[in-house]
This record gives sequence, C-alpha cells and structure tokens, in this order.
Amino acid sequence: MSTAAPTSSSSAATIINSSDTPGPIEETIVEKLVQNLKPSYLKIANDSQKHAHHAGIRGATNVTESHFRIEVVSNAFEGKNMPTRHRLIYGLLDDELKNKGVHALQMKTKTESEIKK
Amino acid sequence: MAVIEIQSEAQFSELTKSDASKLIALYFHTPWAGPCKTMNSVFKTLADSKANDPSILFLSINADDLSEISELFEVSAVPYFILIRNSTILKELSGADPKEFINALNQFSNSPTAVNGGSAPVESNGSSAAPIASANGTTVQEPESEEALEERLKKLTSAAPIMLFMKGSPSSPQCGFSRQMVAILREHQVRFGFFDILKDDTVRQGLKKYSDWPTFPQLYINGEFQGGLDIIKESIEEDDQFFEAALAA
Repeated sequence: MSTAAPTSSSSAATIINSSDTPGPIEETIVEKLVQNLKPSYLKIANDSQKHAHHAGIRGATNVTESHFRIEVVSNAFEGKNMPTRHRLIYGLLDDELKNKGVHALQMKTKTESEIKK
Repeated sequence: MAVIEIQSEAQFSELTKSDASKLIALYFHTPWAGPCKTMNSVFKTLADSKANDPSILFLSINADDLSEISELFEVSAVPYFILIRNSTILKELSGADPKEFINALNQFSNSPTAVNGGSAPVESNGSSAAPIASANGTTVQEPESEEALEERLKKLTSAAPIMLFMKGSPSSPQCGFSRQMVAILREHQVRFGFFDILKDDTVRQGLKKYSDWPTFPQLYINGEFQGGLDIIKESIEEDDQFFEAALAA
C-alpha cells in the first residue's frame, strides 16, 4: 500500500481528521477519498455523537461512526454538478453506506478554482 | 394489567429489553395537553382489548416526568406513539388520531383489531405543502413488480412541481436534515408536495435506486432529482432564486 502522493497543486495535500484517534471507518473513508479524488484539502468531522440517541439510529450496531461531515477540495470535481460530485463520493463509499452502518454524509465539494473565488 | 405506566427509566429499560419478539407500543403523554386526555382513554381501551395477547406490550410514558426517555426518542409533541420490536422502531405517529394508531398496530401485530372504515393519513400544510391524496394512502398488499414500482415512483416524483421525500411530515419531521429542508422551502415560500418515506419502506428503498442516491431527504423539481440537503443549501447560497429558476426550466 502506497501513501497518497501529493497533488499537482503547489502544496501537499491537507488532511484533517476528526481527532487524533480516528476510528477504522473514518480511516477507510479518508484513504478511499485521497486515493481516488487526490484532494488538495480534505477535512472530515465525526458527528455520530450528535445522532447516537436519535430515533432513526437507535438499536443500530454502529453508533460511533455513523454520521460524518466531509469537506473536499479536488479538481476531480471540475465540470461536475453537485449531484454528480456527491454521487461520486457515495459511489466510493458504497460499502461503508451499505454494509458498515454509515448512515449519513454531509458533503461540501469544491474544486481548487472554486475556493479561490 | 393492560397498560403499564412507566415510573422510572430503569423500569422502562427492563421492559423494553425483556422480550425481543414482543411488539411494544409506546405512548407519550403529558397531563396538561388536551388531546392527550382523549388518547389516554383510547390507548387504555385498546390495551384492554389486547390484554390477552401476550405478544404486545403497552407502555404509557409521562413525557414531562420521564424527559430522558422522551429525549431519547426525540419526542417533540404529545400525544406521540412509537411501535418497537426487537429494538427497532417500526413506526412513529404524532398527534391524536386513533384510527392511524390502530392501523399501525394492526400492520405490525399478529392479531389485527377492527378499524371503523379505512384511513389514509393525508397531511396538508396550510400554504406551503400541497396535499398529496394518493401518495401515502393505500398500503400495497402484494409485492410490486419492478416495473410497477418504477411507474409508481415516476408518478410520485412528478406528483407536484416540487416534491420532497422526507422522514416524517413537514409538521412533524423525524430527522434533523428533513426538518432543515422543510425550513428552507418555507423560508423561500415555495409550494411543495411531500412524501413520508418512513411510512412506505418499498418507496424508501426503491427511491434510493431510482434516484441513485442513498440518503434522505431528497428533493425533486419537475420530476428531476435535485439533491439532498447539502446540495439545496449550496444551490440557494449561490442563487437566491434557485427554486424559481429550476421550476421555470
């Protein structure tokens, strides 16, 4: 397994995890997104605590890594509208959504030129 | 004893964990809410009628006294009913509609009770939501063929120029994201129709495939999928007239 290569932008990729001790699902998510989208910026926050007691997730096996907030800046989004960008991420994380109990993903997706606006 | 009035959280935990196969009906009430007085006797009568059915447990919870339990289930209004089996929430009902509750109970219990006439819960929401007569109406008895489901979804997604597929209803959303989506639509004074996907699991699962989108809420405009909450929020940020523009397209 190789570590993610720096993107073509001038600085190396900035990856911000939710904490110093991210869970296994978060690590897989970051790995998949980094490998496939080669983002210049990726920030992931874990909101599962906020939802752990909510009606929709009670009784679920995974209540610690079920809700994530992700911000991604990547040129892989160039020319794609928002539903397409989100579907791209949903597709990469299909396993996590279908089998690992990830219940919701809040996503902000921008290209490098968009964040400069 | 038919209705068990919960006295403590410990008792609640014990009763709800005791038997995984039991259908548990939770009834949240407060002494000061008018509609609760009627529902109190309805709940009691129903429980009494099922007193001989060991597979159903009727629990009554004073939402004020046992606020921890109400918060756990996100009970925001009383009377409130939740049907649970095996730690899974089967259905939630807000409001004082005995027929709706009986229907739900029948749907999930092994011994149906007679209902006086059919009931198709239709919520119309003042100026913002358009009433959808057939959207959440009849329960489909036979398994639908894939084509039939696809046809139904096509019709549903075009039932109104703006269609929101959400958890719960605009007056009683069952998820924070659905609630936010409703707030945005109302803020922009947009007329919309809605469908409560918690009330129809076939549509819930079918729409995930149809829209190629794994989560709810989902917004459709003129029969075209627009996105979930994040996308709508961003679209509005970029263009205040997003809804008007999309409708005109």
